[in-house]
Amino acid sequence: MNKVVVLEGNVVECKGELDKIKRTLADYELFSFDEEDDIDYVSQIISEISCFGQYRLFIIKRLPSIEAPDLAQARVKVLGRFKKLFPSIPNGNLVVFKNVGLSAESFFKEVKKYGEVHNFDKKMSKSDAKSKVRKFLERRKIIFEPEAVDLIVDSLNIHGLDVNIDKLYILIRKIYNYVAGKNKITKEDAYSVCDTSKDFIIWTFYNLLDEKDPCSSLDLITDHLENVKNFQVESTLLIQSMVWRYGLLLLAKQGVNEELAKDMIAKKISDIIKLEAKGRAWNIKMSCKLKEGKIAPEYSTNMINSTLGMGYNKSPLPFYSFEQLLLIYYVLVKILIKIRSGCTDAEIRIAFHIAILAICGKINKKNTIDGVLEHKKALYRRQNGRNI
Amino acid sequence: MNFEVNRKTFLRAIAPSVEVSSTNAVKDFKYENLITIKAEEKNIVLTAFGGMVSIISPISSENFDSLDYKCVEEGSATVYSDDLVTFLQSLSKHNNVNIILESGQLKIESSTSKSIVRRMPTIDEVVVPPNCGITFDQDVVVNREIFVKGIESVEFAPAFEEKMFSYMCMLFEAIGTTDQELRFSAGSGGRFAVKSVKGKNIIINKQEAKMIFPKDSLKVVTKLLQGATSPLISVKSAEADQINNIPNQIILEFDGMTACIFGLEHFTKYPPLNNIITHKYSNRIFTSLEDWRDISKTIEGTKHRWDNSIHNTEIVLEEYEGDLAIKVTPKTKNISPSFIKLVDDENSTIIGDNLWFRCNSDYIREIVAQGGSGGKIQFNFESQSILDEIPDDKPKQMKPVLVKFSEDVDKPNDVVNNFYMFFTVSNK
Repeated sequence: MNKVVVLEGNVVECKGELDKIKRTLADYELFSFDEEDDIDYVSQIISEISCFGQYRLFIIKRLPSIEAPDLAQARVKVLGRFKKLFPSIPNGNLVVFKNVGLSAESFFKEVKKYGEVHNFDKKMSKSDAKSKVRKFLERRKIIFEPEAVDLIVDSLNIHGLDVNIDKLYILIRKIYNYVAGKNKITKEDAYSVCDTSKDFIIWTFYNLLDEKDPCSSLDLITDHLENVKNFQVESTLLIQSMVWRYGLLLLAKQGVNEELAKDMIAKKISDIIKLEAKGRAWNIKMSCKLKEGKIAPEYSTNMINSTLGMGYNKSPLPFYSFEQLLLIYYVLVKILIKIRSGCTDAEIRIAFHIAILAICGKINKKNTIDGVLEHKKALYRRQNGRNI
Repeated sequence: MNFEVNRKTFLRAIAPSVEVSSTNAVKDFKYENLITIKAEEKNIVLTAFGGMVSIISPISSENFDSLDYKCVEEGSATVYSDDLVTFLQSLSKHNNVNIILESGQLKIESSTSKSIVRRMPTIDEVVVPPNCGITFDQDVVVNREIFVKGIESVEFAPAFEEKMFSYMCMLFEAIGTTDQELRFSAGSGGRFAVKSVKGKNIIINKQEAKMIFPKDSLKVVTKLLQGATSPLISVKSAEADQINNIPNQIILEFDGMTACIFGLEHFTKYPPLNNIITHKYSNRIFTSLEDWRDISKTIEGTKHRWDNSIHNTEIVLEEYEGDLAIKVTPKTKNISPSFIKLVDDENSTIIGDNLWFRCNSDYIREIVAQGGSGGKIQFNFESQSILDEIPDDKPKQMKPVLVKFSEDVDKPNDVVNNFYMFFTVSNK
């Protein structure tokens, strides 16, 4: 008969195990403790048997309090008290530590003398997660676009290989509730449900731009900006992030065009220092940004590798020519300056349209700048009455 | 609104509403410290709701003899209850006062000298408590004094931690129609207190009832009933009625007033206390409560420098100076045991040997603190050694230690009072 059980890991499995325990006990008195309770008080109650011949289930939601100079020492002291208490727990009493963040092997070893330790996984590989989502939807006879499942899982960790299981379960539940009554989940449903993750939005946005899909890009970004707290700030940040990304692509493309080795390109880019502004208005001074005492690079190694196709993701470089990137960079910088010098929300929206159309190749040098130049030349010719 | 009342009587009449709205209201509740006064032709109706308890008090010369109520103009106003009380008190030299709603303020003026005036703000909001029950599934009429004393006896006992929410309450039972008993019980899960009052005619309408009062309502209930004058009160319960928007409630009727207690939804069952109170224990011994006082102090002393999580006391039945005695040993270092000699009683029974139990030291201290002035106390227990006989794969179960205090025969009221405490044992 267990006297102590430790449940750690994802919430669903912890809860499932706790429900199983409750079903086994059937008739029990329930007590729950947290940091508001004193360890002395908790210890006293745990060592007592029930007045009415019932089982007693004590759920420790957070570790009880004890006097100590700091939290870390308090934690060690409380766990020490619990270890001493275990032999005094009468049969019929069960103490469950429910996700209080235990990891010390010495504590687990002590627990195992009186009960069990359940250490459920907290993360799951993306492929397992996708199969879990698919099974969940199939069991409920919901048809889905395969990309929708990919988007759902990717939204939880855009660059990584695994996802947090708790977040996955919540997201599955969220999308299931979102499509309530419908029997199909589309890519758009996934975008709508996952749009709370800013990272996901931005990286999905970049993927759509790389795929030269201006309509989906525009939909995604319009939805996102409609839901942000401060439109002006968020749109500026977004343009800044685009300048940063396309600046990197431009540098990488230049290296590729010069037929430099990928390592060399990476080294050259990583030598670029990140700058930060200090002061206000005319007194702004730029200096090197320091991170943990070291000079921070403008682009992280992961980001450079990913751009050059040396990481987990496919390189976006083949989607753009150097000339295109020059134009995109030019447009984005111009937009950033314009927004910073004062724009209405409507003007910012138009600026986004222009940026997206430029990135997707719908606005190019030929149908804009070249056209304007040609027009100017024609005017000049007419005014001077002679051919140049 | 304009009416005249006797100031002193009016102050007495509003006291229950003030009690509900301010002293015992839920902190920051929307009607905290508010009373709605409605003057009608025949009476004044006061309404207050403190979040857990509401009260509707129709006040007239019928329930307050010297109220001297004269309605000049009907109407209503909501005021801060502390303002109302303080300004009424501030007119101590004046017998009758006129209370008038004027330009959005409540004016209290002396009936004899119109220049002596107090003004207070009024609030637009009207105090609206949840609807009172219309039909009752339980309804008992009992002696007010017995009811109040019963609650007072066990008021210390409910759990004080919300972690044991199901024990943050008091069980009131009206049992039997001929040999009648009113029983009040409360406990923390580890220790319980039960007050029993038996008599022939204490449940006036000869009905049975079982109601659970939330702990937070006990103080206000005792306050309201202590200040009441009627000898009898009616205690009813109404189940939730969604159609009529009536929540679960307990209703107390006294002095023409109706107090409703809400927030009962979580208190649906209480453990079976009879199984313990009526259990025939293998060991029953008697001691003098007086002898426990010094022991209680000793136990208290051993707690001062004690830094372990658990402070238990061991009680062992063994021979001392040629007689059987209780050896009391707090489970701390460097402590000499204390002995309490048993008191002769024909009802004593001791079976077997190795008789002992170990319990939270606070339970022993509470026996002394709550046990009254003296007399014999009866310990009913099974030896904790029986737990050793239970195999390790089975839960350790034994009856709690039952302490019965001296019976108190109340001849004028023709009732017999009994007080019990029972508590669990500890493994450490």
